[in-house]
Amino acid sequence: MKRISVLAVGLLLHVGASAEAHRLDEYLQATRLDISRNRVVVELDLTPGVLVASQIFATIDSDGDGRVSPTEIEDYARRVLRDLSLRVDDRPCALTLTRAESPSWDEIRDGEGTIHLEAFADTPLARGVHRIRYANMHESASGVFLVNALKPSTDALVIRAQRRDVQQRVIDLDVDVGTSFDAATWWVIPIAGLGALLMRRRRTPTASSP
Amino acid sequence: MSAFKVGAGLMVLGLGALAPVTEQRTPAATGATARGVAAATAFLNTLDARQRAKATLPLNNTTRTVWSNLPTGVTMQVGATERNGLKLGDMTPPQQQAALALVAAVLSRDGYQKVLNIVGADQRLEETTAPTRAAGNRTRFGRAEFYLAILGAPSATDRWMVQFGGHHLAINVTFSGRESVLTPTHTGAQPATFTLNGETIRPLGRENDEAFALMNALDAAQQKQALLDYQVRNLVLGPGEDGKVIQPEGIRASALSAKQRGMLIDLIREWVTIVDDEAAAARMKEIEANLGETYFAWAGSTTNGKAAYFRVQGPTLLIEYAPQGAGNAPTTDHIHTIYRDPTNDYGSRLVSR
Repeated sequence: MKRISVLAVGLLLHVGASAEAHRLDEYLQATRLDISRNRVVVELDLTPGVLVASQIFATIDSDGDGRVSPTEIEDYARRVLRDLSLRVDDRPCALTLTRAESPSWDEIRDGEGTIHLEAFADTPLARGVHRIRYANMHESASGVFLVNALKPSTDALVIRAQRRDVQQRVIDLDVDVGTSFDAATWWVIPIAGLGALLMRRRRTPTASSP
Repeated sequence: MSAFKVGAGLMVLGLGALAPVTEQRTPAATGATARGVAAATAFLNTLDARQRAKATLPLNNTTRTVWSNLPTGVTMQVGATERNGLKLGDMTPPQQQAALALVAAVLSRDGYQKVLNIVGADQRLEETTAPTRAAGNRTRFGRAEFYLAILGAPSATDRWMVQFGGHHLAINVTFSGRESVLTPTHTGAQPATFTLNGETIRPLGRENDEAFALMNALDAAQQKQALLDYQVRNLVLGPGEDGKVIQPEGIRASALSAKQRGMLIDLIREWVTIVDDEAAAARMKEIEANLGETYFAWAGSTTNGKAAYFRVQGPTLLIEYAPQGAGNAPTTDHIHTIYRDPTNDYGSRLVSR
């Protein structure tokens, strides 16, 4: 508690210069979803505003030494992951943490420090249309959210529709796996049609003149 | 804006030595590359050995990504703690003049003016925030904190790059032979409107006004397609997000009338024409060829003067314009933008030719 108070006092002294330039009591949380046939990767960037910085930092810096150790940021990342939800066709998918990086307290205090997290879930997607739902409920009172799907790197996977709530805490994606015609198919159809037409003409006897 | 007013304004901003720079562009030059090589060589010749070592770097996949919207004193999105190059504050006035002559040489006249206006806004931000800055706060704004870097050796044939940036600015121009590429580039402004010698300066004013004009030229059904039904409070693919492409949203340009498409082209041109005229013309030709597959998306108010986010996204283009929360709600006085070509950032396509 004493540590939080010291941080808060320091912060009040600091806010004057930062307030004009930066977010205040917002906790910016930007997610990008990279969807492939077998996996969904979640990239999450977390940027606390100046007025929530001490509160967020205190939850990360569990030993109160003013620094973020690799263990502390990993613990925090796992807590964040518990507030995230990923569902494929209404089935929950467990997220595995692969990256957790924190800036220094100085940067967090200035409202410019961004915590980077990355996690993935194995989500084998069979041929067909699937509903993927991602929700982020971390610090929802102060959270300002962005969530976007990256364009799939293969034509065999197409995002047909995306819907979000107004705050961008939740996104629903309709993902079509392998049911759409790819570019090659569009060539095959007219060529096959032309071939069939030629075959038919060859078999049809020519009408004789009267 | 008259040359006199620009010059007078720059004097007030402390950039007086830079005022004549726009007049120093050499009309007889054979292209931006030649002008850039000459200006880069002239700039390097003004530096001592220590400065030259700081201003020049090898060009590789790591060095070229070191740029940001953030002010000095803050770790960038890519993890670097300082921008590439030598900052204006560590240069003598003649060196500053040579530095900005290089920036002018690789940009269009309007693009260079936009850069000066962004620097001017940041100088104003420094003047208004510095008096209340706490001891120990390492964040710095202002013209002294803008860095110039030359990546690779200036060459008429080989690949090299010019970076000029600071808070709310990251100009990345990659050269390969006669061709030059501006993407990725970040522009921003805070304050987005300020007064200088009685004249109102809006570094990103045309971008804002042309976007609102386009949105209000759409009929109700078109607006419905363009409008995102959720809040967008920041850039999606800002600094540090190289190589990513998001799923496009909004209205396709193929659903716009000829007049509306013209307005969209004019809006896109605000970013494209920052670079030299020849490169901008080639780039616009490419963008217009793909216009039918280009999307225009909007979030926020359609009343000019209120905050709104917009995005233009095509096969070779991404532009985002995002009012920022300075305080809490998004404000029209703090803007971030990004301009990318997912197929040719840092001139990647030029190398494969």
